[in-house]
Amino acid sequence: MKVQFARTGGVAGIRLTVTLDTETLPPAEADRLRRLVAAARLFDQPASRPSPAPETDRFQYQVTVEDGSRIKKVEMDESSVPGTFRPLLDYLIDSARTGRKIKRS
Amino acid sequence: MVMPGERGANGSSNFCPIYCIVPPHMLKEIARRGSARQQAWAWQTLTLSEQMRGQRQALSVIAAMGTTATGTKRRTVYDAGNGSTLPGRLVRGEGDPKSKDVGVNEAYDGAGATYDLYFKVYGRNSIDERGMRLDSTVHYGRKYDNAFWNGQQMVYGDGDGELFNRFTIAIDVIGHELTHGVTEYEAGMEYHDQPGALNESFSDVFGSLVKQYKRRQTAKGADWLIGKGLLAPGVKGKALRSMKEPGTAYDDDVLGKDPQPGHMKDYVKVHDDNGGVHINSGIPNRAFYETAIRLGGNAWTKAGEIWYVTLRDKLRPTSSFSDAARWIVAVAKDLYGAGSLEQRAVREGWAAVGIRV
Repeated sequence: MKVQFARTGGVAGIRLTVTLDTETLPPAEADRLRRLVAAARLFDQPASRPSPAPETDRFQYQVTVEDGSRIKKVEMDESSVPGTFRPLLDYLIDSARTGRKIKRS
Repeated sequence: MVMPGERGANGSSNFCPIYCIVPPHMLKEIARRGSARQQAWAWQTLTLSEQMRGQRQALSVIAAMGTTATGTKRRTVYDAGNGSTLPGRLVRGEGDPKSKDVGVNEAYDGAGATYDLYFKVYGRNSIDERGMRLDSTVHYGRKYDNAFWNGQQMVYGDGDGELFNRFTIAIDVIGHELTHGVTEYEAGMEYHDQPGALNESFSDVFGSLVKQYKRRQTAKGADWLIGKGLLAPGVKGKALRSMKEPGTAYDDDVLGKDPQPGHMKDYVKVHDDNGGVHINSGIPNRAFYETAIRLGGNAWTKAGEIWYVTLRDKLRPTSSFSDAARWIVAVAKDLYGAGSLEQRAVREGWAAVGIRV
């Protein structure tokens, strides 16, 4: 499973990204990522949740997951993140901050 | 929500929504005559109703109930305790002594400095021109590296400590957020693409002017950096943005390179960030800098006045950069005369970023 994440916007306007691959993560982390994606019910989410009037200086999130033949991309504004998505988002933001990169074999 | 004195759906008067134990007429009295803390609580209860949120007409009736003398600040600071419920716990009201919490004091002082710029220089009585309360919440979220205006109040995170410090540390960020409120009451530029980038730019312009006014700096002496001091030590960068030289504020392994353009030829067409509102704001930001530096003296007097009058009287929700440039030149003519050096400076400021009027 491959997960691409991007956070844009916010008052700083900085684009924070990370790509994680369960093939190259340590087994415990790979497990954790799979569980978080499942808990977020990612494949059941709508592709985008546009805000009627985006709040100023809030973040925008993009998450793309490839799992076997399935690919799903979701986009949302910070002000409309469902609660079930929050743990996955927090993990991806932490990973992006510490600069974890996809490892190429 | 039915206003006090009106008849509710079932014919009753003084209808109180289900969550409200204290009836509206009592809240109204407390909002007018209570202590700062009591007033803040009463206001909070009166205005938190889902039905009233965004209903400016209803809110202005309440605002009229609790108006204070023009020129009076009404600041309240709350602590969200690293949660995400707003506004959080009240920790400092107008006139209360300094807190032990430096972020609380920064939010309080920054809101005051913003109020002062708008009132003393432009004659504007708070965000809505009617003495609207300035509410701030600090310690929002966990390691939250952002600040925002949610339509009713300012919200500040603590930063993550590695990339960002606490967001109240930069007074121009505070001015930036409050200016989003002013813009909402005035031109209301839509938050995407060029109108959104203009919205962002006006926030940076007046945010920077709050800082320059507080320090009594000239246009030449100012650093024109937005969010200086916000980036944590170890980050390769000096600020979030540079109005003077867009694109030079930072270049870091994790944050990347400052993507701002300083000229229309480098306008960034992107899906991110609602069409790059924080990116393309570099172009009108630089137009302001170029205008202010040509006019000399303090940037808030002439350049700031022209920009303020444009925001208040001319811009529309869908205004583009060239619309803004045209209006700004027209306002300069209204204020200083056709062919004046002020009008010339504004034309040159916009020409410098590739927009000819």
